[in-house]
Amino acid sequence: MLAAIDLNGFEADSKDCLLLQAFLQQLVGQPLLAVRFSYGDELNLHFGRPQPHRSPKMAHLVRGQYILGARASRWQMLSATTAKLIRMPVNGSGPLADEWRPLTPQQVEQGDFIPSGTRVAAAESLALDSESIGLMLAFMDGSVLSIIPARSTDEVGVAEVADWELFTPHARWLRVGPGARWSCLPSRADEMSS
Amino acid sequence: MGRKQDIREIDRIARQFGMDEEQRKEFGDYIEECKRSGDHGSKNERGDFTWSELEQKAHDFLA
Repeated sequence: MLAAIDLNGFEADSKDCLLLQAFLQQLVGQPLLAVRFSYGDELNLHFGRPQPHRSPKMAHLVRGQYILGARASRWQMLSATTAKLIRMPVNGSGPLADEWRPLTPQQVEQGDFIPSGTRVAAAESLALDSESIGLMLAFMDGSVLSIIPARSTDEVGVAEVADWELFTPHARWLRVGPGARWSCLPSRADEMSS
Repeated sequence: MGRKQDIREIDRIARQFGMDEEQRKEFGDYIEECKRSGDHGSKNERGDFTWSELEQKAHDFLA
């Protein structure tokens, strides 16, 4: 039997990882447009065709049809092209072991560690444990991006921040976490009222 | 790894000013662009913004 899901559909507070996996498949085949950090050093990957920002204040920058945001989660980028692993060292902001070379966010953005235009080969959600859902993106050049939610329940208000998120060209916002829950919600005010 | 406190403040300011999720996302980019262009905040040596500075930035962003 064949079946289809509606990428314009909504899903609230779901624990269905198979359905999340299905929603993520829209990333497969999309070319990487840009790697960019936003305020708070959040890693963002833009995919698909370049689009104008909605705000005229951001007219000088393009955005992708899809934007993947790592929020405050741990992530690592395995660059097949440059044979490098980019990540936050395990000891956080402590001194680096000799083998690690420090990088600024700007160096990661401009380093072409995953060359622009490289397409996503596979997108997999990772049920890491009963409390979080990670993400693994494999690229056609062999590079891999992993997002691994940090478990921290000792901060006030942490529950407000998703573990990672994906904006889609269908005016939807895939919000994953905190916890092993996810939602697919309208990303634009005009969609919220419809 | 992003700084959760800073990300949470952007989310809260966005909600306070009635931004939808796409606008909230662009607002985070806008604030980072401000920092990179030399328009630093006074919160710390990194040039992050205080709550009142973020409120002013939200006004500017939506104007």
